[in-house]
Amino acid sequence: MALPLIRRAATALAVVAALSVVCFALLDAAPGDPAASVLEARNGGRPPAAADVARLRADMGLDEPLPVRYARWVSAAVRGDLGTSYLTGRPVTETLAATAPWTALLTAAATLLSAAGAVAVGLVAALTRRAWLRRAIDGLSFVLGGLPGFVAALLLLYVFTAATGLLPSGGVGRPGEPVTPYRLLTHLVLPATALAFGHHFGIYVRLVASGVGRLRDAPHVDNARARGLPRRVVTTRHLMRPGLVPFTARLGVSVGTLLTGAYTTEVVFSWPGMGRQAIDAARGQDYPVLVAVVLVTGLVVVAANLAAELVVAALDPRTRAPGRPSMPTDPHPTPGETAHAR
Amino acid sequence: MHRRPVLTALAAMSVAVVLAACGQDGHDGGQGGTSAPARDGTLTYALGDEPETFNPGLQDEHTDPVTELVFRGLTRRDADNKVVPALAESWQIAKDGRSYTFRLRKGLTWHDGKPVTSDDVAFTIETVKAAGADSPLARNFTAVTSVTAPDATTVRLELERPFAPMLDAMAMAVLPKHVLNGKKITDPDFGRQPVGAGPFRLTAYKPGQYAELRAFGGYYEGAPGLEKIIIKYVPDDSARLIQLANGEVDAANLAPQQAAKVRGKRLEVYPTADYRALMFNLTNPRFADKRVRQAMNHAVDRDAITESVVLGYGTPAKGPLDTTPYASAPGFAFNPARVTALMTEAGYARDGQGLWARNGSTLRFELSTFAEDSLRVAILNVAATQLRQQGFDVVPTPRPRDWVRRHWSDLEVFVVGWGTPYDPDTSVYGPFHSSEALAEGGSNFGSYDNPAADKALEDGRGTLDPDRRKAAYDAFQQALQDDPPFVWISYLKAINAVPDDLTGPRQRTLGHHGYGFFWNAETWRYR
Repeated sequence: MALPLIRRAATALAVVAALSVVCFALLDAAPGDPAASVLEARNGGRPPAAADVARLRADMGLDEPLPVRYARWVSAAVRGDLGTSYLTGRPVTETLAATAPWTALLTAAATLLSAAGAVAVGLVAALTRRAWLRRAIDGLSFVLGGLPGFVAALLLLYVFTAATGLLPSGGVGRPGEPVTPYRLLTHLVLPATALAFGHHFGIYVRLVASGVGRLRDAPHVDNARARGLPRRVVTTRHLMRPGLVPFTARLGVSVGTLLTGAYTTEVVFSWPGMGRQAIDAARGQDYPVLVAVVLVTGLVVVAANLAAELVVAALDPRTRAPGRPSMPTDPHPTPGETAHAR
Repeated sequence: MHRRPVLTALAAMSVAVVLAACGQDGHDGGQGGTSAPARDGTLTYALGDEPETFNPGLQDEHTDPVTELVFRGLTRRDADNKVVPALAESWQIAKDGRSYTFRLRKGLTWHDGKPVTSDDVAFTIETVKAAGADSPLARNFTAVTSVTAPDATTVRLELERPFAPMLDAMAMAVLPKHVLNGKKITDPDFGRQPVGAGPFRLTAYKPGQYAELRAFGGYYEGAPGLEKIIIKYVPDDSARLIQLANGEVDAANLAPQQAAKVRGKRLEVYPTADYRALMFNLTNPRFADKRVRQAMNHAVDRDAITESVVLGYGTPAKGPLDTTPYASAPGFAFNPARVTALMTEAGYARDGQGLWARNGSTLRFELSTFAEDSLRVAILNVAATQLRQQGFDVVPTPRPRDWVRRHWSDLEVFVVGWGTPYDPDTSVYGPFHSSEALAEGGSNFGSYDNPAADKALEDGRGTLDPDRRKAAYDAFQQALQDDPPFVWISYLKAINAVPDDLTGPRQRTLGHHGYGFFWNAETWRYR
């Protein structure tokens, strides 16, 4: 188990390194001039003179060839220095340290909420004998699957703040007052819910329902029931454990989409995370900040995939078999195989 | 079926949500639309734009609310945007207009308790002048040859030529030498932890969230009426309105379409100097004939644009100084008969499609603007429709901001936004003097070149006599009327909602984005 893990970690690092190269090259190729953006921001939006732009470009080191700038960035980055923001002049690490925890909190809460909800609803759909309930859940997951995150956010805002005034509409607390855990929770509910029940949720419910549903009448489950195992044991060990493999694999993959979803959710709910940082940086062509946000996002996605693989390996013994270092290409185990593997 | 664990999980989740929702302690909203928010002398104001820095040396004369409240200059502007004393209690100007002597008030202190002296003033002017392109204010001090501080409360400026906007320029914030000495003006720490001599000091700043300002007891006019002002950065327009209705903020900056939806607040609607116009690229020979530009000015129904685009929260524009004390532009009325007369005189005739054409080709041009700016795009669309109805072959084409940055010289007609409410020189010299043309690196992006306008602008900045200045800007506006550089469209109004029991906000012509709303916030208080 140790060796494949190291191999996977190395692959993950290579992916992040490649991402940094691509990100640098793309930003370099992108139209626009960060020096012009900076001067424009300082001039109340008025376009700057060409000579001033040229001088600032030289000051910012933007006239040097791309490989030189990249090498300089890498040598600083490995020492933990991600450069300084063009727009604010502050270290990028400082900005990240201030914003990344908020995004992490929001994304983690949303993932938890989404996963717990999907497992609960999916199990009901898989196990109920009532056709209308199954159809209702099908319909719900279909609707939620097509609901863009920002629409969900605005609907929630309307219902819980504008119409009823039940919850605060944005931010992480009352400005100027300490952020208590309780107050934080009340501010977290809406953005986390909006993010959790966006389009992933519908997909999750379907994956849980189909993964567990196809095992419901499988021979090994009938066998377990016939042996007189308690219902709870049958459900958890024989239905959920193998049945949740496709859902778990998907959960890891969709952390990336969830993060990008978080970025738009943050804007709507004034959540002080990396998303707003990224949007401001993209608008103002603040490349050091943009590169850092892309890389952190990349790191999280790679780590989430790695974690998902490990969980899948724990759930599904076949993926632990020697010579099968990665996930099975077909993440839907057929009931017969699973029974046989046990 | 064994459903209990599932139901338990669902129930637990809903309980968590409901608990979170119901257990409000009253401060985090939850009071519905009309009830009074928590007070204690605190005003929380929601604003869309967050500046990159609170360093006034890196902002132009339109400062964001935080910078405006933290700092003071030697002079400031009153409700009529006239220059009045601030940190300086008085000044003398030499007869030739080339020497200024300012006398500081006694006992001025910085927020950190150190005294404000003439050394700070001299340091500020020298630093800003030396900053060049790093500071948008440097252009105000190009004529300054020397700054001296003969004693702790006296500052003397020597100029190589008279510069009428000098007193207005001295409204620029004075910077603390003891904090910034030896650092660059772009120093990022100062922009985050500014030290000023204004009525409020910055006590907390959470980027992306809010800035907290507290009353400064050592302010020279005495402690302000409010104890605390919180500027909350809420970039989303709808979110600002919701937070206002929800009681999360007491006051907010609003867009025109939101004004009618506000309940239980007082609206403060102020004029601004911020206008929108269609700028001609005058290096393009198609616009060389001023009759064509006059005709286009008569072809636009600016009342209709003001009504439809900003829902009446604006005023039709006649020229670049309409909302200043120097306003005298006659303006152009919507008049299709004049369009026909002027275009015919210029040698054009309507073709088969009803478009003005000469030598077999129509007067075809691209009307563009920043695609990201929804207000300008709305103006572009309505204006294009109106111009087309009057026979102009307009191709409306919004362009990404970045494309525009690289193609200023290729633009044909462009929706611009300009105007400051302060000294007229600040507002019009850059955009209209021929020496400031785009090719010279200036901000005259249309390359307008009119000797009569140039002379009037030079007279306006070269004399300190109020009557002669007024005459100069009258002549300037007449020159623009005869030979229009722009098709004037509309001035915008600034809309702010404040609590009913807040006294003090007073109308003044504001700058772009409605900046300047807090100009007299030291006098604000709750009834």
